[in-house]
Amino acid sequence: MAGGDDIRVSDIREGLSDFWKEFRRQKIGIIGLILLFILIFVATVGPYLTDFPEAGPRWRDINYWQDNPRSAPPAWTNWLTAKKDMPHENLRGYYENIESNVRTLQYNYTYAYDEPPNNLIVYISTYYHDAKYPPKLNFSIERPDGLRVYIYETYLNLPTNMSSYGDYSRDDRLVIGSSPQARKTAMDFAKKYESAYNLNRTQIEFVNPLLPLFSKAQPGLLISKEASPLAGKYTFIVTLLVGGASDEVNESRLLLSGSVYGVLGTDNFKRDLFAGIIGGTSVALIVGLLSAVIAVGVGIMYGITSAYLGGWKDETMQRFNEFIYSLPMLPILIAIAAIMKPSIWVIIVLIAAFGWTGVAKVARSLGLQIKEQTYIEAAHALGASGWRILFKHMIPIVAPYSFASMALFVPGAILIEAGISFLGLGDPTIATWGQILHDASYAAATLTGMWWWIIPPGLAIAVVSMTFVLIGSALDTILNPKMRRR
Amino acid sequence: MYAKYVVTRLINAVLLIMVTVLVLSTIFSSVSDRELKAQVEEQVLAAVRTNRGYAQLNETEKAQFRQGIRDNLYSQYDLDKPIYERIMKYTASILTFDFGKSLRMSSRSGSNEVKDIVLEALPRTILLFTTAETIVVAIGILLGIKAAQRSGSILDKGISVFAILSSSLPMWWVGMLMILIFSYSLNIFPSGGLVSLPPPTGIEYVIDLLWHLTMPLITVILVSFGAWAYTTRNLVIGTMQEDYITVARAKGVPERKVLYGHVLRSSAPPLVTMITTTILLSLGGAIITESVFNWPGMGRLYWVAIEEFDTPVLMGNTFVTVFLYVFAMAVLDLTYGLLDPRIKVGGRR
Repeated sequence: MAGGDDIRVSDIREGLSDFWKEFRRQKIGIIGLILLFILIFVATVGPYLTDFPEAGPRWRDINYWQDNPRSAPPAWTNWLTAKKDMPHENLRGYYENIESNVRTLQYNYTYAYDEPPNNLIVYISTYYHDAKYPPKLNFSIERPDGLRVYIYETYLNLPTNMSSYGDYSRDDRLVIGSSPQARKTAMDFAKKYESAYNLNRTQIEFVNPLLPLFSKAQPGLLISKEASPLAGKYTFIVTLLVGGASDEVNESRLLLSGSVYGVLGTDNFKRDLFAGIIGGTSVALIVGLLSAVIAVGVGIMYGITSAYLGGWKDETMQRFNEFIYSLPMLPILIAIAAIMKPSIWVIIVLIAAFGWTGVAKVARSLGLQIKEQTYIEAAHALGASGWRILFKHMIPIVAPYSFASMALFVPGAILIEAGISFLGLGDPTIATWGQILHDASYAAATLTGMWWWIIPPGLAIAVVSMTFVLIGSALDTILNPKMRRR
Repeated sequence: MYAKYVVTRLINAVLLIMVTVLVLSTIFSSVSDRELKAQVEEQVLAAVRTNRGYAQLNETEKAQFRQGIRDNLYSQYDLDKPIYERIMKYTASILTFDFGKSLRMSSRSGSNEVKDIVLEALPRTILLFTTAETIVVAIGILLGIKAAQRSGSILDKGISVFAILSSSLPMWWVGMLMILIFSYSLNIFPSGGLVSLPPPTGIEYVIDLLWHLTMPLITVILVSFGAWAYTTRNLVIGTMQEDYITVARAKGVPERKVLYGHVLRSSAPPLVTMITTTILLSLGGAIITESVFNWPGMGRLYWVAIEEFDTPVLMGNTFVTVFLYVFAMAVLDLTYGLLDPRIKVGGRR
């Protein structure tokens, strides 16, 4: 047994290196392979390179996306338009220890846009020792013209149900831009420069308080059409007065909410579409590959077994095959999905359950050829059992064919899953490209011109299916003539 | 001999439909079991809430009262009978084309019979997809032959690349792009629907219908013809390498005659099979593409039924699709059998 296996391993190695030599000559196959590696990289590492690594599982969790702008186009659209919209920005600050009880954080930001941010949100994790003296936070802006505006202050208070002594760490999310305090300080600032005429005719409650703060200190700064944006370097300063020397700031960031966003913008649920598309890559690959492996595996086994058994068993198995083959797959899948509300795993199994028939037919005809070979007869004569002949002598020969059919099965499977998801029948616990397109269609994104919501998911589907079409056709050209030669 | 083939093929089709209906009914009944029971509990609660005397009853009487209503509703929905009986009943009614009443949707004439709703949608699907597939087949075969004639040319390579590209695209997504470009940006074509509102009359109605038909039609053609041209090309090139073609050429038969007389004639049977199966399989793409264009056919019916949770319509639509598909396959097989002597004689090998 061991000796026999040794020979096999070296055979396989030789076969593989031969195969690789041939595959290397297939230009489209190499392109496909490169694409596949990129896709695998994106599926595994990709989510951690986006701002929202949990985009897939938390796609429907509105809290996860709450700070993003709604329906924002991609940030790079600024390159194409005359009006420069403010991109959504996450600033990391640096930390300075001025005195034993004062901590400051500074965020530097270069502003060169035609509209102010929609909001300022500070995230801060603090640790303090004495509950009687919680940190007092003060937020101010230093403008390019040298003016400094103190906007907001608050105590990072203890929740009332906590005991008064001990070590405390807390996470705060301070929505500063839309707070009443910020409105008041911003308006006080504006009143110093605004003309009496403009002050009379503006309803201060409806002005974005961040407008005067990001505009030149001159009349008109309360009126969005007249205000002239003040470009230059802004410094946002967070000062913490703390109770003790050991109190610190663990982590902090400042979010400037803009109206253009990231690589691919956001949808009308504020979700980061780039993160969604990256997060959907693994799902698409799993759906395609797993259903292909199941369908082709079952198909090969079925076809070879049918060929090997022959006679009435073969006839019955072929009848059953044709039975499944002549059913319209998609309508039945849709009906089952609509009734059962299946998980992604059930969808994969269903796709495979309808997809194995074509492979089984080819495998059977190959099996019928192999069955006539003399070495099968020899194995019979040596007294090998039926299953041994099947698994040791017949299936390995058909295996190369199966790789080509697996690769060619993937695009269909991905398109079907995308279609089911598009109809709103996908697994609700994950994000898939089809579901993103369903939401886009449901929100009539085509009629509101939200191209960034429609084009990327479809392109992603196309790239993945094309990857496997390329690999599959390359494998097909290499393996098929070989099959005939045998 | 052919009569026997016809009979077996038809029996096969009927059997297939019966088994499919049975399987779908089983799934449907077992799931609707849960839903119906939950619905009954809601109705029991509603009955309790609206009954004034209920509060005065003692605990056992209350329980009895609830049980009474529940039993009543159970027998009304056949929930008191074993599940296989309900499955059989449902299967039987489907097989006699009795799809029941819809939950929420109604046809344009106001009927809420599922059958009417589905039959209203059917001709629209046929109008869109039969037209589209006919054009696709014509363009595909013509281009395929041209490519095969000049194999290795730019046209040939272009067709291969286009075939790979277009077969990787979801047709319905291309439809969305079309709407984005031609309706939103350029505002040339309507974004969807069958006709404008209010619908015009007379010849204007036809023009309006064609105007609405254009964009879905172009979408289907754009995505489908590449693969068609590619397969035709492969078939034709394969046949061109046969010995008898070489002989014909050697005899001095003009190239045009070789191509159209010899090559195409022998490529015809596989092409015919392909045409028929493609048209049938295009139903798949149709389902979703119709929803994108709001084309009120059977595909769009799926979308609406799913959005409105109208399960009877969904099931009825599925069954009609399965019926049509299976019988069309059978009819095509029979026609093919009429053309192909090997099948007519009876033996398949």
